[in-house]
Amino acid sequence: MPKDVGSCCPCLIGSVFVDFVQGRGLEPMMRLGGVMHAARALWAMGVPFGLGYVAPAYLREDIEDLAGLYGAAFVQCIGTITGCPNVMLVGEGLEVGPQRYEYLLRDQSECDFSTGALRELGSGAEFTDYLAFPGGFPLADTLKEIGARTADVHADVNFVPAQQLQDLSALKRRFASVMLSTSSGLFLDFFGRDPTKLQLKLSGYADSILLKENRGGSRLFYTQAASEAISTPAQTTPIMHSVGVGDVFDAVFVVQRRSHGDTAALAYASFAAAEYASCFRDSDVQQSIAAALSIDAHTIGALGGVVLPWEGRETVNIYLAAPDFDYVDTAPLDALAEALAYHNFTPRRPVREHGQVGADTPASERRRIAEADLDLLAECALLIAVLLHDDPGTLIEIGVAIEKHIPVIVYDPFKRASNIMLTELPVLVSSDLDQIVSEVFVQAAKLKNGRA
Amino acid sequence: MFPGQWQNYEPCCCRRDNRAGEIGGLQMGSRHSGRFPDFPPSRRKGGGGPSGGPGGRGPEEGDDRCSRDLLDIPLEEVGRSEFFNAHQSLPGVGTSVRLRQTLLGPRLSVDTEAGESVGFLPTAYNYLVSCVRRGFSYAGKVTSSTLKPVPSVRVNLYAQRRR
Repeated sequence: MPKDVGSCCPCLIGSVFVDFVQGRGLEPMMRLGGVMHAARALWAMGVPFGLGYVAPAYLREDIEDLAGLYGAAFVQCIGTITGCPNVMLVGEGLEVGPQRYEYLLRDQSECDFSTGALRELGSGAEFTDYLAFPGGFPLADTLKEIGARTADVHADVNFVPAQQLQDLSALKRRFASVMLSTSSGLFLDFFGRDPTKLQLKLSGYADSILLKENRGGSRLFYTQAASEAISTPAQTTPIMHSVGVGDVFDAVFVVQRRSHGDTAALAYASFAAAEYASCFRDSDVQQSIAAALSIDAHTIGALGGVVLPWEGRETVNIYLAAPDFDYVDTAPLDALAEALAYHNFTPRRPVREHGQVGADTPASERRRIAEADLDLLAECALLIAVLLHDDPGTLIEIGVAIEKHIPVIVYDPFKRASNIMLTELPVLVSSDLDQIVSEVFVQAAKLKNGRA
Repeated sequence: MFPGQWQNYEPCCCRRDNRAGEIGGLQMGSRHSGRFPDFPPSRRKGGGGPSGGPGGRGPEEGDDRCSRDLLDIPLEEVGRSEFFNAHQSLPGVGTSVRLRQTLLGPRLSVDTEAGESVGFLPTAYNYLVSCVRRGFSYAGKVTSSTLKPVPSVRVNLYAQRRR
């Protein structure tokens, strides 16, 4: 067992799903998901834990079998889902852009919840922490029950509808932490994509708020001390998937904070989450997370990475150089623009902004558009060229950007680039959109943080 | 977005004679969703924890990132490196280099055999920190070295496992 995790005995509360993950260039993957992602992380850490789950009856045997193999000391079904198979289709496994979750037959889902079963789960164990993943079961009833115990309570509210947020008060005391990611509907809609508003709205419920900011790092806001926050960088290593990664972050954070404190716990959580995203087999998960936790706290805390808070990205204008014309299939360009906007960057499409030139466009108008494009390029922090075909305008824009010392990334979906000026001068040439988006984070963080 | 409930579609004529994996006697082409994957931890006694091994495939098996060689990797911040500051030049192609076993500040450093830092690995390779903890080391050669337009060095690093 890795050192220093023996003082924590968490209890996980959540729904179990069947995750079916697809995505660009990925073999489809299927496994038990939902709260089982956090269970998998605790197993990899060698931490005994309790599990209170809700699921359809047909999954119970698989869940309890797997939970036992993961070393769960206490397992209890606290609710049965009917009307819905609890299958989650994930259309974009890498979270390059929107993940396109489809929770099949979600509107028909009903939970036959048992407060007694939840009480029974808690009565036989001395849990130090409850980590709840609300969604699919009655939140108020659950919190009322676990709030009566002495353990710290944490909740990942990623999937809590805004109208149910007030149910958090059923705990009757403060949460040790409330967690959510910048991808959640709560953050994007209810909190208006604004971390300040998020703190304001949640500070009444929790001592700390953990905001996971995807490839830009994570921040922990302390609600009792105004404007106090700590952060950790993201580790943008190549990944296989991003499903359940936030849940793993939560579980590692909850365990590690007891032995190492919040700052190191955040760093461990970030590293372990990246490791979880880089593999799929349980044995690989166990090996990589255990290795991550064997790194000493000083080293893990010192390790650099990408720090780019959500609200700092909107001012990163990114010039998309491409033949963005109405007679060209711009699907790769559209996907890139969508991915950048998803991560709160500001993609700029000059043809869309300044107009498309035709054979009958007057010379004065042609000159005006060309100058407007160059002015826009000068405003941008980065240029991404999308090689849809051999477009001279795109190549000229690359040259202008390099001369202006604007970092150039080349997205080459059809692997056309062979000219050495094109392959050697940009900071990255890749046909992999995931790699392109990660490099945007790296380059933008360098620009924002003054590291060339 | 898919609907959250059943639609009032006409029942499919193929629904007769359903069997697992088939509809109306036709294979549906499903290859990946017939059952849960067979690679959760095994039921081996003594498994279930990292110290004793979780069972199933051991740490030596599988496509281990740590054992992969790193080829033609561009180093970062070469112009501010210890080597460049000391010599106002760069190590030539073919110079032996190795990954430093400890961090230099917040970064993974690639050093000459004399221990001078030539530059940093991109942060995408930060996972090597845990590989080093697992007993891997990385050494190789400079493959490209140029002062213009900015000082830059590329390296090959080959993975080795200490015994």
